[in-house]
Amino acid sequence: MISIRWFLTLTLIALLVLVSFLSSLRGYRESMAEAETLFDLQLLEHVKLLGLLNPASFLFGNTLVIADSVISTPAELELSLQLLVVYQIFDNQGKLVIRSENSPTQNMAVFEPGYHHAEFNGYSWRALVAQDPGDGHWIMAAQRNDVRYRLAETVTLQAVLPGVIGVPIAGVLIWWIVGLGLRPIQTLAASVRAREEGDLKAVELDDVPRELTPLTLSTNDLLTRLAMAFDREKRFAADAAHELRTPISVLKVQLHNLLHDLNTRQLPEPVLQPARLSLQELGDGIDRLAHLIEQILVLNRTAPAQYMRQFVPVDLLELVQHVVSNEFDHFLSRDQIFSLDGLPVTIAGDKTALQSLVQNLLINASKYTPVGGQINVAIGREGNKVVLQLEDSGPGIPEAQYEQVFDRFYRLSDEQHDVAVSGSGLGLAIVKHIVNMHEAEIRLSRSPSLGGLCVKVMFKQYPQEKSV
Amino acid sequence: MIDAVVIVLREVLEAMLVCCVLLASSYALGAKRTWLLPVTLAAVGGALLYATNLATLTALFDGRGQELTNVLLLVLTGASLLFYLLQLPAMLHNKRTLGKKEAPVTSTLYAVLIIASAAAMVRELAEIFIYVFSYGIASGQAVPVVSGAVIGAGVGVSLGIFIFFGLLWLGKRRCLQMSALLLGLISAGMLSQATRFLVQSGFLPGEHILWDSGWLISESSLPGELLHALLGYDATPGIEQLTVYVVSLAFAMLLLRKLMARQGTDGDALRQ
Repeated sequence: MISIRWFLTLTLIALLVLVSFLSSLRGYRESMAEAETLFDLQLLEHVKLLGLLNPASFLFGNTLVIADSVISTPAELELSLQLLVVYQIFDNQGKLVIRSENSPTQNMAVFEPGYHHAEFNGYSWRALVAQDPGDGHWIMAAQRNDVRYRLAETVTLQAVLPGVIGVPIAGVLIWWIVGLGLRPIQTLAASVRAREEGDLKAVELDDVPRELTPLTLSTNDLLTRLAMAFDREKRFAADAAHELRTPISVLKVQLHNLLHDLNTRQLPEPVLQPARLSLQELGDGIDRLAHLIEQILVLNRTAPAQYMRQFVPVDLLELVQHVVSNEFDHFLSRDQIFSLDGLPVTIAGDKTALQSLVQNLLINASKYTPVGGQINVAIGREGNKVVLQLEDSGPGIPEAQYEQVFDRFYRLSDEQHDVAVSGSGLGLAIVKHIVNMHEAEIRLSRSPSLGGLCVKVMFKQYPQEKSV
Repeated sequence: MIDAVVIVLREVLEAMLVCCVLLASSYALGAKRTWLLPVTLAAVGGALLYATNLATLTALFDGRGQELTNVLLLVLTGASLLFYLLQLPAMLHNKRTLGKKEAPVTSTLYAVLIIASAAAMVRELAEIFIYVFSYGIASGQAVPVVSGAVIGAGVGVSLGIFIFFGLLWLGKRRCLQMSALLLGLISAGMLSQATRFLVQSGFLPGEHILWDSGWLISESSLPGELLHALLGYDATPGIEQLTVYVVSLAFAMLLLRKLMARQGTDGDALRQ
């Protein structure tokens, strides 16, 4: 859709141009006609003046030169010569008695009273012919048509020109005024755009013009419903996860009691052995369920739309060391070689969320790296970014699935990835959420040194560290 | 001044009609407006080149160079418009198969838009340049002629703006149909005008004048000018002219029918 500003500006200017130019044209034609009448009147006055003279006193060839004494510049002289009314006076027999200097010796127009068109001296002329009612002598006066037209046009154009010049100025003003009129829309859009991601409060209605009130009201209505939906979703996930924790704890206790009970009874070993095995598997299942619920809780807490950002400076190296010390049993139990390189670097972030990110990446690496494999973690800088890099010697992920692995509950299942490896399918989804929350970037690739997966997370540098 | 208004208005109206209808049509297709800049540059540059080299151009081909240049520009515009109409149904088809909201506008289509508009503008702009320079600036009548030219151009451009928004106001679907119809009429008019130039310059025989409707609508009257710009109206057409007109118009109408059929089969094809 074309912009309202463009539409209004263009159509208003076009309308203004049409109305003003067409009325200018009309005015031009009217003024030209009026000027014609004026010039005709001037001719008539000349003829009347000539009629006052006594033909008997005329001397052939006399010209009036009074005007020359009041003309000072050559331009005025030129204009006066052009404007000059030429005249001829004939007696009642049609014999030329007197004529002005630049008039022809033949009669300029036909001997018929009234206005006539004449052609002489290479120009076209407007001539007025009159006959004296007393002695019947003829008076003819004429003006050049082109001079009359040019003079009339010069005068008329003075009235038309300001309109023509004014239109561009009006155009600029229209553009500016339309922009001014549309400012409330921009202000409204800006106020909605400038909100925090999780801010779903209603838009203030105080400064909103009447035309935008329905739109604002329906936006507010939508925001309210959205906030309610978010709230419901958040509550549901939190409540469900929280409510599930209790029965799981009860299950664990009951399982523990059952095992204890089983051990205290004097049952024969062939009966005891399968029962223990079943209870062990049941315990593993309960652990996986507990893990899944914890992950859902983390995911819910770190969803960007609902997360209240409370970023603090975090030393990434220290954080990784902390997580590694907690999870070191994983590597030991699988006999994996682990290395950590890097210098202390600070980023702005949420500590708990970042711990969850590192933990998920480390456990993932350990899970998919074979027994005796290797995991390298490096922390460093690349340009103005802080980079956390994890490499493993596992099977890696096919490039085509780099995007999908971040989907919730997505599990890799091919010949290289053991489906029996326990996992909720939420680990990388959580990682992605935390990365987004920190406005960081995550890239997957094949590790050049270890051949497995290489995960690279690039964080923004902590503002105070930029100058270091 | 009135002469300047009439002459410039006639030229501007012809150019604006092609450009505004094309602009509205391409807008309905979802094309970007970036093609307007190359059109303006090409049109102004081409017109200046044409106007400043008029004497050389006229002297070519035994004094028939100017007619042939006009024929070239008219054929270029008319053929580009027909080619554009030919592309339209395919564009809608692509849109449907790709499932996009807007039809993907190819670079070929942008090139056609640029060529058609620039060729239509070059001749008209050149005529304006020549008129304003020779009758205005060179003969000491700069103020009335330039004022008249500005008024004529202003009125022409304003009418073009209303044509553009009027077409857009129809909604994308009807806008495409209406602009295709107008473009068909304009292209047929231009091709028949080119034929007339060929007859005038002796490249085609054309002795047989079919009729003279000058008594009914004079070519130099305002309705005559408008009909000339829109339909390529000629008071005294020759048989060749009419044949070219009918054939190209029939071809354009066939393309319009195809476009409407394509819109019909596609439930939501560019429906607003």
